Amino acid sequence: MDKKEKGLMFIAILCFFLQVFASGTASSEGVDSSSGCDKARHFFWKGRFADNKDQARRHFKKAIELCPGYIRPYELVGNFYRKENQTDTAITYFKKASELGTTNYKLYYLLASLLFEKGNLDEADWNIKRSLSIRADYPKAIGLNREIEKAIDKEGPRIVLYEPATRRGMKILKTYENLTVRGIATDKSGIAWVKVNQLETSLDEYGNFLKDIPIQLGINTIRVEAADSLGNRAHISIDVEGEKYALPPLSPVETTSQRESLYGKSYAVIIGINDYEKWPGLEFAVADANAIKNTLQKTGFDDITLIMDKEATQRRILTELFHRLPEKVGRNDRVLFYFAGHGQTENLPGGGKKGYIIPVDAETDSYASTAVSMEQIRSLSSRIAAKHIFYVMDCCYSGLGLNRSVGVWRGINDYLNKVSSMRVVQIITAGGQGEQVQEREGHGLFTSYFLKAIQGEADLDKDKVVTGTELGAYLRPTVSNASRQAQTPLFGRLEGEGEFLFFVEPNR
Amino acid sequence: MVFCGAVLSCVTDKAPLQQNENIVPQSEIAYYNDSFDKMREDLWDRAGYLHKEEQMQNFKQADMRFDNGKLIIRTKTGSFSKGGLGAKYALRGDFDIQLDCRIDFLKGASGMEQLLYILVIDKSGEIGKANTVLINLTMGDGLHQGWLKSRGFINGSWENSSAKNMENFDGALRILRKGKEISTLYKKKGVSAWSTMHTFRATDKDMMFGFQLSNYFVNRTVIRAKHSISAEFDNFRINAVQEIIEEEI
Repeated sequence: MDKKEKGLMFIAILCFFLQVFASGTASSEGVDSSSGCDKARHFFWKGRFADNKDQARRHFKKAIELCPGYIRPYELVGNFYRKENQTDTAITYFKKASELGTTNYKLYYLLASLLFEKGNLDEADWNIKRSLSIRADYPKAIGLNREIEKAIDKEGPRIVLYEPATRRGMKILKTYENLTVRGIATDKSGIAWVKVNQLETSLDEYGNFLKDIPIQLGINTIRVEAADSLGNRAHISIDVEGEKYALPPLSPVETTSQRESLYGKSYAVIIGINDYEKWPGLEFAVADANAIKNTLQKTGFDDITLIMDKEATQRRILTELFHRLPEKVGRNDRVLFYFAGHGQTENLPGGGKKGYIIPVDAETDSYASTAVSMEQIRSLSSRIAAKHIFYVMDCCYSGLGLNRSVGVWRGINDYLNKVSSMRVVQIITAGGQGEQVQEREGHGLFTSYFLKAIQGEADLDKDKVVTGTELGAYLRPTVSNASRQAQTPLFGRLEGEGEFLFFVEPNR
Repeated sequence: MVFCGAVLSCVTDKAPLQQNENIVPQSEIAYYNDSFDKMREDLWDRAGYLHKEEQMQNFKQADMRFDNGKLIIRTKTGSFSKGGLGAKYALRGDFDIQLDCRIDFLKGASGMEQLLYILVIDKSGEIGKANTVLINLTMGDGLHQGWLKSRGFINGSWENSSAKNMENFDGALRILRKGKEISTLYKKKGVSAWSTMHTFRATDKDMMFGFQLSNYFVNRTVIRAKHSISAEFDNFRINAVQEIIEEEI
């Protein structure tokens, strides 16, 4: 390479960026073979490296004049105007770039911000969504999107009350002290909280809420207020009339009329499986289920469904729980679900645990899809109106998420009336994950003590009623000691503050 | 082998920037890497500055297409023609970038030149004074021999570089900065170690990156260019950088 060549090469290599610094005298005027768009980029780059913004803007506009479909200069000119607070002109240039099909997520963000400033929320929303559709993690757009959504979404959540049901805003209710308020709040931005008479409710991911509140005699105004995640609020109010309620004598509960004053109907679904299709067989599950049925019949359960062995398929269990029960159960009723069979706990990848009951037809390696999860069973409480639900699981689990808080303080007057009026879902299992269920004298150890408990042994205060909490207090140490700590029942409440009541068999 | 210019410095494996040098996490850098499956309008502006009136009156943008995960630039015939991309962002602090490229020179092509280069340039530099470091692959008018070269325009003067004859090139070009020192490296396909071309005492200011293929040197006023030249570009990667400075739009 000679010196001249070196010199030429040396100059040429500056083409890309340094060329733009040179004082080019090129003109687009005159007859030439270049098209406008071929030349437009030259002016674009002159603009990019211009000394000042006026020069730059002039070059960009020249590029647009030469090639009206050239998107990039519109973006940069628009941004000059934006920074000079010439909002309308900036919007015009930005929109032109948008019409030409730019994929510049920053442009859509800036355009959205200008439209937002001008109060054009719909267009701002469209443009910020466009920005995020191109680059979903653009932080500025994420922030502005939230602002825009907040500005657009002025409405609070939609609130629907399931309970108490209302007509024309007034519910005449014969009640004693407590009222369960249950419903759902929905909003596209999500629900932040729900309060009933200023008291925060339990709230699940779908917006279902539940709260027991005290009721006074006369007119009570129930105000349900909900807030969405943007801070918008809505509320509904209903009036409930608490009437004087003549309570029967309560201690002890021995007569049918006393029991009927506490519950409407009493339902039980009892499942026992010895002969599994694919899981190891069990010896006493069916006998346990029969024994439970016999005892419940004597203690006031008037609608008992018994599902045994080959009948206890996943489909049958789900049908019973989610179709038949909801059709017939009323809000003043109680429901007991008893299961004797295999249980399984799955360790979730995220570190949690998930419990299953195993139907007769479940697979051994894919029980997640062929068994019935505890989540499904728990969700039953949102589908049926019963004020009290009790799950008795003669199998071992963990990961049930039990709330171990105690219910209402036992020392208050009319304790049974109070806890029976408050909604509750309680559960007791034969043991925890990994524990071995013991069998003895023709029954599972847990069920044999459960039967004794509801027949009166757990009636600690001798009021002829065994509450759910009494049952747990009795069974945990008793079964644990009898099994020499091989199994310790788990007891807890899944929701609510009331108590499930078992009436001790008369003449005991 | 006949060398045209200085012999390249010894083959070496240039140490990459270390993790403890406050570099941007790879998870963030990955956004800026480009495998050239399509035009990334968010990363690049198309090049196209022309230096002379004669070039302006007879200029055609080179064809740029994305084929099989590569950017292929092909110049037009009968006119001044070039194409390339310039980054929309700047690199701050230490950085380490590379680009795969391939060019098969046309031997003896007259009435035109063949020029491929990548560069980094001081974004804040004044006109005509911006510090620049580049790597180029060139073949002069009518010549049969191409060459690979690295040069730096540092504080107003050109620092002479080393050069190496190249029949063709298929490999990767790399520019690495630590402090104010900017090193240029290349690696032919199939070779594991990088060869350092030169290290310039340059600048630690924010720099922009670009690359281009052109069928002329800057001062040419008449062109015949009976042939097209083409080059392939692939796998632009920021191996490491202390900070990436995005433009407002």
